[in-house]
Amino acid sequence: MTVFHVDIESFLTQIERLRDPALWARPLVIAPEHGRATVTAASPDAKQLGISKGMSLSYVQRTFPGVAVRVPDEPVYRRAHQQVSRLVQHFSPVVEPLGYGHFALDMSGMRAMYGNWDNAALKLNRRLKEALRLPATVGIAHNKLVSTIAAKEVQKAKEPLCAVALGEEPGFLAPLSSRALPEWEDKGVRKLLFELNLQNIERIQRLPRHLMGFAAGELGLRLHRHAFGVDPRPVTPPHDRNALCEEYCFQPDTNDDSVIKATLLQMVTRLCARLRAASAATSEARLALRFTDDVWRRRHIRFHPTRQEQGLQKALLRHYARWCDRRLRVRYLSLSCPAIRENHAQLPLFPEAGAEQVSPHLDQIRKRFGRHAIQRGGELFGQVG
Amino acid sequence: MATGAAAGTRFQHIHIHSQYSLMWGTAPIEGLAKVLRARGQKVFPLSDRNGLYGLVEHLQVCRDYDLRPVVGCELVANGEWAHCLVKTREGYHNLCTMLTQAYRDPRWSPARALRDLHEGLIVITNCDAVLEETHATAEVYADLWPGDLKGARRCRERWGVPLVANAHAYTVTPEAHHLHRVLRAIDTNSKLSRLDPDAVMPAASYLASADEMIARFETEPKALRATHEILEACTYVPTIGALIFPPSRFDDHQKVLRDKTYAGLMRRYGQLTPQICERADRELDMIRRKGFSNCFLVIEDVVGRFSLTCGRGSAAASIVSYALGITHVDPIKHNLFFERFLNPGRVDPPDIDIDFAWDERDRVRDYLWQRYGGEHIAMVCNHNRLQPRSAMRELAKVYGLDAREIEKVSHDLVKHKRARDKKRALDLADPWPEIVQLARRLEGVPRHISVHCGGVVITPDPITHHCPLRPMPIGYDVVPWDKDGVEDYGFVKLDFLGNRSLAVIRDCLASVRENYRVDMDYASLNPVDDPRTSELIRSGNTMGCFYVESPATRQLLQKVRMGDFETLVAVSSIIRPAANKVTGEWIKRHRWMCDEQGRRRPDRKPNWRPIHPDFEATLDESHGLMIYQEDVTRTAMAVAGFSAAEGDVLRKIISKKHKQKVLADYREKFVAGCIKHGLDQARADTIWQMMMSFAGYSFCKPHSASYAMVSFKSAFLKFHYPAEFMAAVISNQGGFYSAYAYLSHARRLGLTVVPPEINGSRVAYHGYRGTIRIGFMQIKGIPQALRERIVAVRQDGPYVDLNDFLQRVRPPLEACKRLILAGCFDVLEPERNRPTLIWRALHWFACHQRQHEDLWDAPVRAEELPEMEDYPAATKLALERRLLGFLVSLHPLHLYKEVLAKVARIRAADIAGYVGRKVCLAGWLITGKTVTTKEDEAMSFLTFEDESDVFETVLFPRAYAQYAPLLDRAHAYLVQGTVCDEMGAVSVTIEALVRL
Repeated sequence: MTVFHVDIESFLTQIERLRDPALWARPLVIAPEHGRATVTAASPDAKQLGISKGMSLSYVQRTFPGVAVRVPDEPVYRRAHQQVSRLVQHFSPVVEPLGYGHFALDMSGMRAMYGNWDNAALKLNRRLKEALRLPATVGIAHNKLVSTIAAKEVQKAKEPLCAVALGEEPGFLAPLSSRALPEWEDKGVRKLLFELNLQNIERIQRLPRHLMGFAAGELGLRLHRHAFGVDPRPVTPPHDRNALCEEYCFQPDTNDDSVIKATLLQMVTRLCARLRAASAATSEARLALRFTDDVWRRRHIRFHPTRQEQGLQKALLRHYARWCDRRLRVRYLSLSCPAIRENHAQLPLFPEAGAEQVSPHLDQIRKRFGRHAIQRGGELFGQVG
Repeated sequence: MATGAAAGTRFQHIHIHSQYSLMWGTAPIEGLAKVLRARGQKVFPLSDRNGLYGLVEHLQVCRDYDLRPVVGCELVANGEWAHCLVKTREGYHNLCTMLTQAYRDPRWSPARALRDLHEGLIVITNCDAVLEETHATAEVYADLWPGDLKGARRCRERWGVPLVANAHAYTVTPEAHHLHRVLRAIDTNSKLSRLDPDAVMPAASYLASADEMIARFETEPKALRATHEILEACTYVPTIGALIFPPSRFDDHQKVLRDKTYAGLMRRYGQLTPQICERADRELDMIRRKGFSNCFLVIEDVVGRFSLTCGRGSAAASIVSYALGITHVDPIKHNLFFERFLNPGRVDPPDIDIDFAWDERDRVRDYLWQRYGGEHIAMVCNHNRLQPRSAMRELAKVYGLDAREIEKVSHDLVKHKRARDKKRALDLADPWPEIVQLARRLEGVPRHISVHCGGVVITPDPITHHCPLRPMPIGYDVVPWDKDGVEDYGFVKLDFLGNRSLAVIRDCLASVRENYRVDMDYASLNPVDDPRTSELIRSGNTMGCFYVESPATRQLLQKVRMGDFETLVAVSSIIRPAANKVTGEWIKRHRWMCDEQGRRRPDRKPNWRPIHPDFEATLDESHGLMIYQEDVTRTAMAVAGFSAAEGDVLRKIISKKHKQKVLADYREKFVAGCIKHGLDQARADTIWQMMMSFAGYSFCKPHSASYAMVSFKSAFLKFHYPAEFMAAVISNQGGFYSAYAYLSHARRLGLTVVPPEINGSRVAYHGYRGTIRIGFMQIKGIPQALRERIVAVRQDGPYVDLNDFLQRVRPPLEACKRLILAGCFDVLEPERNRPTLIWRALHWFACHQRQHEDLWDAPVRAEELPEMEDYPAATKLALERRLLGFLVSLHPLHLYKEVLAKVARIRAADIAGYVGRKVCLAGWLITGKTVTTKEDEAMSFLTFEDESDVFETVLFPRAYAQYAPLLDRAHAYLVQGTVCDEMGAVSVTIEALVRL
C-alpha cells in the first residue's frame, strides 16, 4: 500500500486570507468570540511568533496586539474542504478526509499512471495551487501514520514532498519528538512520556515493548508500534449520503424561544416540501445550533419515516429545552435530513383526514403564489419568511 | 366609582412586597412609604416573601414618614402559601418560629405550622391545605386578588371564610412588571421567553390606587372593608433601639468585672498607682452605667481560652480591656482616650472587635455556640446587593448577550464615565440602552444573604423572640439583618475576626521555642523599646510584618525615617487612600518637630501657619492635621462648638455610605459654628474637606495603636529570628506578596532556602537558624491528609529509600510522582534520577495494587526496569515552576540572561545613586496596585525585583494606558524610566516597559 498524505498548512487561515487578501499583511488567528475562547487555528507567521492552537485568545491579544483575529466560519470552511476533496479525488478513487485540509489517498496501483510517486505528488501539489490557490505538502509512505508525519515534517522544511521508503520508517522517526506520534494527543500518554523522559521517539524505540505495555497498557503497546512506524489501518473513504439541508442565520441574534421555534418550524416546512417534491421521506434529522459565542449544539434525532411536518416538528420540539439549553442568543440554525428515495413508510389501513392531506395543497399554493402566500400559525414569528 | 381621599378610606393595601422579597419585589421600602403617604394611607403593612430581612428598615422608614407599621410575611413552601399579618407579640414570636422552621426543614409545610402557631396572626390564603388546618381555629380570610378570583370565591363557599381584597403588590406601577420579570429571570437563571409561569407574578400585582382596587372589586364591598378591619387589628410593632446585651453568668457581674480588672492591672503594671486606679474606676463606672459589664466578661472568657488575640477598634482605648487581656496596648502610656469607646452622650452601642489567629476562628465560634446554645447566639448576615456592574452583567445575560460583548460594553461605559468630554453620548446598540436603563433601577436590590465574616450577637432570651434564624451552609445560624440593621435593632454586636499575622507570630514563637529554647509570651512581649526593631521599621524593611509590609507603607516609613511606636501608630492610620493629601504635609511637620527616635524636639516650634489657634491646640499631637477618626470629633467640638455626642455622630456619619442628606445638615451646622468661633467661610470649608478624607475607610487611634503593637511584635521577630519568622509568614499564606517574593526577600536577608526533601520537610515551611526549608504544602497536588501522614509516619524513623516510603506511607500514585518530580527524593536516592524513580514507583504500584498478587508473577521484574537519562536542566526548572509555583534553584531573571546581556542596565541595589537620571532595569514583577487619580484615570504602583533588590516604580496614567495590557504578575520586564527621590523614598517613574 502506498499512501499520500495531503496537508494544507493552516487551512483555515489560508481560506480566510483568500477571502480577504488584506489579512496577508498581519499574522492571523481564528478563534470564537466567547469570553474564554482559545485559538482554533494560527497562520504560519503567527506560529512563528509563538502562537499555537489552544492558546487563550485574551492572552494572544494582550501579548501580540498586532495579530488579526477572525471568527470561524464553518460553512465556508466546509465548502472549501469539499472543493479540495473533489480535486484530490481525481488522483485516487480512495480518499479519506482527515479534517480540514488533510486527506489520505491510497495510491496503490496508480504508479504506472504517473511514472513515479514524486511526479504524482508534485502534480497534485501544482493542481491545488493552480485551481484553488492553496499550497500543500505531501507525505508519501506505506501507511497512513508515517505519511502523516512525513507531510508534517516536510512542512517545517518548506519542501513540497517527503517520501519514506519501506523499511526506513524507524530510522525516519527516531530523531523526531514524541509529539509527532498520534498518542501525544492523549493527555495521559503525554504526561507519562514527560515523566519517563521519553520525549523523543528514539528513546521509546530503545525500550523493550513489554515495558511500554507495563507503563501505559494497550496505549503503550500501540505507541511502541507507532514509534517503529507500524500502522495497519487502511485508507477508508467516508460513506456518502444524499441529504437535504436547510440553514438560517438570525438577523439579529435572538434568545426568544418563540422566534427560534417558529423559525425552526419554517425550516421544517421547507424541508418537508422538498421531500414531498422528491417523493422521498426521512427517518432522522440532524440539527445544529450555534450560539452567539460560537458554542455549538448538535442533535441527531430518529423517528418513523415521514415526509410530513407534524412528525418532524414533534420530534424536534420534544426536547427543545434540552438542545437549546443556554440563555445566550442563537445565531445560526441548520437542519438536515437524509432523503430515503424508496418510501418505507407503512401505509395506514384507514387513512386519516387532516394534516397529511393538507400539506400537498399548501405546497401547491406556495408554488403558485409564492412562499409567503400561506403559512401555519406556529411559523408566524419565524424569521425565514 | 369612588375617587380620591374618599376611596382611600374604603380600601387599604394589606399585602405589599419590598425588595426584601429577595429577587421578587422591585420597590425599595422608602419608595413604598412615599407612595403610600402620597395616597393618604396611614398604615404601611409589609409582607415580604419568606423573610423579615427588611423589618428594621421598615420600622425606621415608618417612623420617618409618620406611618404605622404592620409586620407581616408571605409564607410559601412546598406548594402551600399563606399571608400572615402580626396582631400581637405572640403572633410575632409565632411568625419568627415558623420562619426559623421553614429555613431549617426543606419539607416544612405552612399548613401544619399554622395549625399550631396561628395565635396572634391573621392568615390570608386561598390554599386549601392551609384553610383545612386553620379555618376552624384561626382568624382566616380568603385572598381575593386579581390573580385568583375564582379560587377566593371557591374558598369562601367551601370553608366559610370571609374575603379580603388584595393586590399582592410586588411592584409600585404596572410598568415595573417587566423589572419583576427580569428579576425572576436572573434568579432562576432563565430568559424572559422561558420563565416558568409559577415563578412570576401576574401583571396586575402592583400597588394599584384605591380607586382602581375599588373598581376591581366593586361587587365585593365586604372584602374591601375587611382591609380596614385587618389593619385596625394589627397593632403590634416590635421595639427597636433598646440595647440587648449578652446574658450574665454571674450574680454580681459588676463585682466580678471589677475584681478581674484589678487582678489584671496588677499583672500588667506590677503595682497600682493612683493614676491607674482612677482611670480604672472611671472606666468601670462608665461601663456599669452603660450596661457593658457582661460584654467585657463574655469577651474576656473567650479571649482567655485562645493563645493570641488582638482587640481592635475603639475598645483598645480601655484600660479595662488591657487589664482583661483583650488588648495589649497600655492606654495610659500611649495616651488613648477611653471616651472614644464609651461616653455619657453616646447612644449607639460601640463595636467590640477581637482578632484571633485565622485558623482558630472556627474553634472560637464552636466554643461560643457550645457555651450559649444555638437559641441564644447567631451570626450577623450580609445583604448582598446588585451593584451597577453586576446588575448590568446579569441583565445582559437574561437578554442572551455573551460574556465578551458584556465585558466590552462594560469597559466602554467605564471609559465613557472617565472621559472628560461627557457630552458625547455613548452610542450603544440594541438592547444595551434598555439594559443600562434597567440596571440603574436594579442597583442596590438585595440579591441574597451571606454570612458576615465575624459578627456575632448573643441574647439572654431566645433570639427567635426577636427575629427568625436562618441556618447557613457554614453550619451556623444568622439573624436576617446586616450589621447596621442589627445595631439599629439594638443587638450588641461582637466581632470575632480572623487575622493571619497572629498565626504568623504564634508559629514563629513556637519555632523559636523549639530552635533556641527561648520561651516568649505573646501578651507580655513588648518590643517597643528595642532599638534594633525600631531600626528595622525606620528603614522600611518590613516585608512580612503585619500591616506595614505593603510597598506604600514601606515607602512612607522610609520617608518618615523614624521607627518609634508613636510614629508607627500615626503611620498605620495615615496610610489610607483618602489621606494622601495630608500625608506629605504630616511627614514634613513630623520630621521638623521630632528627632530620629520620634521624640519631640523641645527647641522647635511649628513652622507652618495655623488655621485656627483652637484647631492647632486640639491637634497638637498630630501637628495640626487630622489623622485619626476622633480628630473629627475633637475638631468639631473645638472649632464649631459641637457637643461630644454631636461630634461623635458626625464622625460616624462621615465614615458611612449613603450619608449625603444627613451630612448636608451637619455641614451647615459646622460652618455656622466655625463662623461663630471666628473662622471665615473659606477656612471652615478647608477644615470640612479635611474631615471628608475620613469617609469610608479610616482608623481611630486606639485601633491604630493596637495594630501597631502587632506590627512591632512582627518586626521584632523578623529582626531577631528571620528564618523562623519568614517561614511562618509564608506558611500562613495570604500576605501582601507571593511566596516567591517572600523567599527572594529571605535570600536577600542572608537566609538559605532549601527545596523540599522527604526526610527534611514538614507540612508547612520550616525555619531553622538561618535556613528555610520549603514544606510539602508548597507542592501542588499533594492532599493535606497525605502531607500530614508523611510527617506523622516519619516520627517512627526517617525513610530509607523510595520503597520504604511507599511501603510505610502508601500514597496515591499521582501524589508519589509529584513528590519525585519535585525533587523530594533527590537526597535520599542520589544514585537514581527522577525518571528512573518514576519507573520504580510505577513498578511498586503495579505489584501492590493487584488483588491476587500471590497467584501471578509480577508483570515486570524489578531488575528489568530501565535506568533512564535524567531530565535536562531546563526541564527541572520547568518542574520547579510547575510544582512549586516558582523557581528555587535560581533567580527567574537568569532565564533571560542572553537577552539581558545585551542590555545596559543597572542593579536595583544601586538605584539610589542614579536619582534624577534615566535608567534601565530588569525586573520580575512581584506585586502591583492600580488606583484612579482625581481625574478618574487609572495608574499603577508596581514592585519589581532583580537579583540584587526590590525596586518600586510608578506607572502614570499616560504610560499606564500604553503598557497596562502587558502587565502580568510573575513575569520579567525591562523597565526604563527616571529615578525619583521623594523625601528619601526612591522609585522609578516608568517611561517604557518591555515584556521579556
